[in-house]
Amino acid sequence: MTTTARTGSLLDVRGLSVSFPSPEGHVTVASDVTFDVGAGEVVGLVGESGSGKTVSSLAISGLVATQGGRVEGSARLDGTELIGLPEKELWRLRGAQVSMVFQQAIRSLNPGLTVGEQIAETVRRHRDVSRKAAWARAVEMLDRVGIPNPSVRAREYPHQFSGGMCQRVMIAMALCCDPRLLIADEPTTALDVTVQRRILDLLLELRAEQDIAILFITHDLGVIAETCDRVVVMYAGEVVERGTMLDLFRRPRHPYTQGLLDAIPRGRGRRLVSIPGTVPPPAALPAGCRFAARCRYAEAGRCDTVHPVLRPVGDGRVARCVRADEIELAGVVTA
Amino acid sequence: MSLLEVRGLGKTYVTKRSFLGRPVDRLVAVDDVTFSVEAGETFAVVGESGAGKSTTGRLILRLIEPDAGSIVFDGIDVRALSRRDFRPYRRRMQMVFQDAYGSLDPRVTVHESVGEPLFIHFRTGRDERLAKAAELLERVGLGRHLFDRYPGELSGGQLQRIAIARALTLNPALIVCDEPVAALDVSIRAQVLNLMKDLQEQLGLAYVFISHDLSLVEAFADRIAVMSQGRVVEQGTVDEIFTDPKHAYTKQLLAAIPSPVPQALRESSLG
Repeated sequence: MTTTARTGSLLDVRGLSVSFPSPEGHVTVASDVTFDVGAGEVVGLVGESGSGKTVSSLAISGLVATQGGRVEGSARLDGTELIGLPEKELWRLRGAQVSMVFQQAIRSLNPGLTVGEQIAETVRRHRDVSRKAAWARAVEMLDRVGIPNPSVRAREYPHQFSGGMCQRVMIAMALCCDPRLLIADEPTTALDVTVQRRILDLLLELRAEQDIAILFITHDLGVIAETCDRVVVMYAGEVVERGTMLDLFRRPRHPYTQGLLDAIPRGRGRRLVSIPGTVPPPAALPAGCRFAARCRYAEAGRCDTVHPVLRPVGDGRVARCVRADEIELAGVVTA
Repeated sequence: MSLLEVRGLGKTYVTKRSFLGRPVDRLVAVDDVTFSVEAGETFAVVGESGAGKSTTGRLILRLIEPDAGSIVFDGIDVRALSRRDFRPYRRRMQMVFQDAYGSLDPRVTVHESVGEPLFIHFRTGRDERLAKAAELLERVGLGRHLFDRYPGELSGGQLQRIAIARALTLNPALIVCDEPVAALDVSIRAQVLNLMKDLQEQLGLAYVFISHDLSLVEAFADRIAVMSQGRVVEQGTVDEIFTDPKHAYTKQLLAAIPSPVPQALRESSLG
């Protein structure tokens, strides 16, 4: 039935919660997040700002504690529990087993080192190789991600690269030690469409060549539709729906997912369908369903009183909606 | 007569000067751009970063001074006017930016902020300013309980509504919107765009809508100019551009948009 039953997942996240201290006590920004990513699979984590998608991924790679956050629950990578792992061991895993690329590639690079030096440094941190071999690996990786003239460009500094080329450098660095999982957090959001297209193609190519799994964090459903096998939809800090990408686009089971699909512009002069209202702030979440106040299917006395659980709704899918079986939601190809 | 007619608009920056101050290197940001905008229509300017679309928007309002061409607004070449004589026209052409937070004064309540243009242009008294501002804030759908908040206390979607209200304060005929919804979440984006459509119908506004997002433009605009490297490479109605693009660059741009309808479903919906 649900993905929890599947064994052999590369990444298995269960009941992950993240909270941060605030003047009013700890505020939970992601609660009970559960999903998995199989080897070689591309899983999309979709949601708007404040949905908890980025903070969940940071928790998985051990980057929340450094900012004063508290993480509970479990995230296993190939059987190894990542939550609570000592910093020293995380250092060994990050880069070698799991890597991340972010939206602002240029800010993730050291402006004072050539890109070749930075990649070679990563290689030498994880592998016992000579400087020369590490450099050769850096050049090889730059070539692999489609940077023309790699042996020359390896000697250049980040500011000499365009936005798209910087993102390629980031991807080269992330993949230089053959990680099993790449967490890509809005990697193409700041890029022009034609550049975005090339980066997406590159990621899918690398995935096919190296059997690398990708956790793709994005708010862009177009990007999801073109890259992902399965999708996890998050809203106000929790997972509201999980399913295969095709199922989800064909027939969403949570009203919020339908709302996201509706908000996609579709054709000439057609009025966009908006979701009224805004996401509730993490410090003031309602007692019932967190989406109820914006939901056109919400029923008083049911949806606004009890907080719904994430439950199976058939066909291996899960949704956090008490009315999931009563309402018929439309996907993208109904018109 | 069109509301706005831009002819041969150009802007060149000197990027490098010689020891004696003579220009050595130049960047042509906007090159011979010509188009017209009718009252009440949405004219989109699309292109990738560096294409010159934002510069074009700023040149129209003379936020940046053009160095070639003419800007005819309501039959008057406003580029030829002195700054002082330009002011009455400038009231009728407003701008909305992507970063609404950055375009509002963080130390002033949104209620006062929206009325402020009246003071700047007409020295209007406080009561009258606040009355006009309240009317506009209600029109853009901002709840009364938020009137006395500061920009830092509001969400991106609320701030963009406020920026739009402020742009409406002087009853403009034209608003240049530079990526007005690019920073907003998808569900909020639709709210703001629908608001803009409603305001257009109610007030007869014309929009110059600058965007990199072609799927949005397809839904929102009447006509489109596609820019690349400072030039307009193609312009036409939304139908013409999307169903029969002529220029290779337009075709490339259209092909690159990720489709929200998965490949497998596209095929199944056809067959």
